[in-house]
Amino acid sequence: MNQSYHDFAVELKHVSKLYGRVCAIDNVSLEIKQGEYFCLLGPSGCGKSTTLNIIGGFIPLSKGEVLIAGKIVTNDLPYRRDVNTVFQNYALFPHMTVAENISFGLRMKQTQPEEIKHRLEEMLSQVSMEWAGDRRAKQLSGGQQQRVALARALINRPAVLLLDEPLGALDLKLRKQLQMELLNIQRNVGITFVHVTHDQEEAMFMSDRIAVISEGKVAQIGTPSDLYYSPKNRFVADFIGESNFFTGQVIEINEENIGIKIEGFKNPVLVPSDENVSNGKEVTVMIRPELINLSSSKPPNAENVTNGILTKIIFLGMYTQFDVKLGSTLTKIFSPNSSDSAENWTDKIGNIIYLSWKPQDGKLLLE
Amino acid sequence: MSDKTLSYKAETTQSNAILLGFVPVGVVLIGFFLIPLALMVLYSFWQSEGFNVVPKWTLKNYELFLGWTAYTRVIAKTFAISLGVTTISLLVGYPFAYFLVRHVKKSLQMPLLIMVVIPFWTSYLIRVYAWLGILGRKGLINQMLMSLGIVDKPLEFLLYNNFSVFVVFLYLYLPFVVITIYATLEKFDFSQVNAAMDLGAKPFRAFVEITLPQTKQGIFAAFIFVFIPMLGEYIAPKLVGGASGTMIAVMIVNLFRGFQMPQGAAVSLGIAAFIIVFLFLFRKYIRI
Repeated sequence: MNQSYHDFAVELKHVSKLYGRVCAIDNVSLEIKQGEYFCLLGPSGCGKSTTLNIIGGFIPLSKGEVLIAGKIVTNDLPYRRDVNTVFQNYALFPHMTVAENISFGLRMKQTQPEEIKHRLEEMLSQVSMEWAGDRRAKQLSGGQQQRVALARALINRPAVLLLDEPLGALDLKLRKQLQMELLNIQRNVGITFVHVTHDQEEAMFMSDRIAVISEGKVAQIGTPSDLYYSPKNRFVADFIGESNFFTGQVIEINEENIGIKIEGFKNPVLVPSDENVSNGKEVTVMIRPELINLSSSKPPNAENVTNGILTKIIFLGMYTQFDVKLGSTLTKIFSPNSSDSAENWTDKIGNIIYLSWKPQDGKLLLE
Repeated sequence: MSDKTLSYKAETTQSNAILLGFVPVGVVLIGFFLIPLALMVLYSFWQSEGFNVVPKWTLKNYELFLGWTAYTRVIAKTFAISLGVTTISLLVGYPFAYFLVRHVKKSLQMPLLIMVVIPFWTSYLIRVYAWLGILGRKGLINQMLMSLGIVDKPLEFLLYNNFSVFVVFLYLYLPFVVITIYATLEKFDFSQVNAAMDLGAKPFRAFVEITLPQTKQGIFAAFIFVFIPMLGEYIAPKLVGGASGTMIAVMIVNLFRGFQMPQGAAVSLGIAAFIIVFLFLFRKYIRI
């Protein structure tokens, strides 16, 4: 096999896909690094599966270029691409045994029988399915079929493995377990994984980097913490984790901070400086629920202070969620729990309480 | 204790009720199928004297199957034509059904299928007769060829021979193949073909390795729907086959009409036995 090294396992250059006049993918550019665990994340119908199918060669693209391991494959059919796929419904071959399923790819490449046998055994043990070689795919449970589908793809040692919602059909517990297994296998084999999911927790857990896709466009690409703490736009902020949004007008700009006039706050809300902002501009401030401080009396010397009515307290195990009504908007606050959580808030429901956060914790969103 | 008796009673009444459901079918099967079949078996071992069948045991009737007689020749030909038409129907019908399922919009599939079935809205007899008007001396094809000056006298080989039987059979049975194969392909999960191509199979290889093995039940069903009725075709060969295009059913009817009922019964049973053996081997060979 050609082992020449390329920086990128997959490159999409200005890729668009039109269905009639509807744009499923709109000018998407992506660079997926060699050996990376990369997720395409987005709500259903956002174009993430279409993007995967374009990489796999199942959908011809309308515009742009696709490169796999440095080679242009834009017009190549799937069987010419150094890519294998774990399909959403697994697409196992029901008329074949598990062993026949897994060795199918090698058989198509006319690999020597001894080599096939050797790699088949290796693969079966990799996915802990040694016992299942002679079974039919139909006789296996969902999780087992998932493993066979994975083995069937990985045995070919592709440059890139594509996974289309691979865990979507499994129950939560099994999904968690297989997420772990997938990660371990990926670390073992060192193959680039491109994983499509609509589950942001799954994406955060598994990925080195995530591309958030919205309405056929890349909303943002970054590491999980990039996306969480520095979302570029409201969509990403909203889709990844929980967040509170406040909109207002920029009224002061200095070297360190920007002051924004927001209804319900006596003083301008401060966020870190951003060079793209001018006075008078309408902007959104995003603050994560766990970064808001809660107090029953007005905190002295705090910035970004406002008050509202505590409407609900929800115990969620690791933390407690407080819902506070600020004017007409509902703000969420997460506060970590411990066995000696001092203040008892329950008798304060319906009362006015104070919220505040540090200027550096707020995030300015321009779109 | 009483509970047990009660439930036992309930169970027996229930199984009695189930048996009751089989009574009408049983009556029809015994009265119209098993008894006539038994009579046929008896006749085939009896003799005809004059216009009557007399219960004198003999194996003579089965001698028709020995050697290259007029009967064995026509039986062989009937098998050959039926097999040929079935094969061509499959070769034409499978790709058509495949195209329909794979490349035609869902909303257009039904209208197209209905067009395949439309001929069934007229009677079978009329559909066969229509071919006399197409293939005959003064039929559509000959008139067209003559008016275009391609030939100057009517083509004779179009009608009253094996060729015309072949053509009419193909026309009569192709829709059955299309519908049967369509029903099979329609249920098939084509994401498997993508998976095969993903694993390095070229499109034709993917078809041979994945689609074909999983649709062979449909092929077998179509085969049975088409091949067996064709072996027993009487009207079509009688109308368009003429003397040289005769088939075995025509000969069997002639035997019965000529009061050679024992021989007719023997030929019928012989063919039935042959079909059973043939299907058994066929099924075993393609492993369904």
